[in-house]
Amino acid sequence: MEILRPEQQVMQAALEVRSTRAELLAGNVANADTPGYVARDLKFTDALNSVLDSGDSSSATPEAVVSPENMRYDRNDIDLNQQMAKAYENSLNYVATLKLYGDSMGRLRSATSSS
Amino acid sequence: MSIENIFGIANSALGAQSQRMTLIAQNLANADSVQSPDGGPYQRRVPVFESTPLDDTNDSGDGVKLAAVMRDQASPRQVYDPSNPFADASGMVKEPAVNPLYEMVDMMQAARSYQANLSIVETARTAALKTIDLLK
Amino acid sequence: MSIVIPTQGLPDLAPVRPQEASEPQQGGFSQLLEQVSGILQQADQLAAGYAEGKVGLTEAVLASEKADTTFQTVMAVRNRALSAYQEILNLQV
Repeated sequence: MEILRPEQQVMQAALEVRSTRAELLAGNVANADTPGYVARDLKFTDALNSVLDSGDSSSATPEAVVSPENMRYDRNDIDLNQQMAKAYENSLNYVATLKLYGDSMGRLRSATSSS
Repeated sequence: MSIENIFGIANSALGAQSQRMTLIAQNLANADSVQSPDGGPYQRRVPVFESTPLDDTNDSGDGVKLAAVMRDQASPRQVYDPSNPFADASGMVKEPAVNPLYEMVDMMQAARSYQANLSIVETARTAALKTIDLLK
Repeated sequence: MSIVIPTQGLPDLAPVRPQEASEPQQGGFSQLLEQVSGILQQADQLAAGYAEGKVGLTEAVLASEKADTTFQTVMAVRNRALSAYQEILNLQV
């Protein structure tokens, strides 16, 4: 029996995708100087739908994002500032969704717990 | 799962960049070492990074490690200095192929990478704390 | 000399019709609940919309705050009504 309402399931899936994306972006920042390393990311909407359809949090598929304008002689195309900006934005979205999810669950709890 | 991985990834980068900075410092310190334990002038040390995937699955981030320390094979600079004890018959001394200006720029970039990974740790920490806050 | 203003007497009181007094305010209150439910639903929808990337953060947060306040207000009204009802019950000896 699914206790979560559809909107809450969407928020839960979004949190999982944001979490996976945070890990990928951290990997980009860590490998900004690794020869041959290409930046990785995921398409958010596709990943969200994939997680919602399958109910599996690990079904989001990351992909290599090649940016020719950033490519250097060591075959690394990571722009550190760009990746940091993405990481901050992703983190903000994660925390905001977390709080909204918490508020929604809180209202559900209050409604069900009133004597 | 992911939050813990992020700490590991960022930590691996902090370590790698730290090692890189140590090598740069060593290069700078030996910019004038015409004699080294290997014989001949000091050879510039170059770090080689390699990514360390957490597992075989595609959806995890990659850490990084210092895979090797290479010696710069560039030919030493020949400087005319007959008074130098290490000068050869024609008065030429082989100086290390270390450009201090380049090393300083490299050092700044390593420090910037280090700082960026530190920010990632801080961001992940905040997100983890807010996640725990959900629990009543 | 004081000016005495003749009174005109009290106006006739409107008679209380017993049926109206005993009927609970069905129409008004259930409408209110529907409105509240709509506000809560709206907050959840906007929150999900933000999670998907379709709704702005400010909009979603403001809707959530409104829902929380509305919910608390309704709960307060309900609790007051409930305690008033229990007081009345206790009055009837």
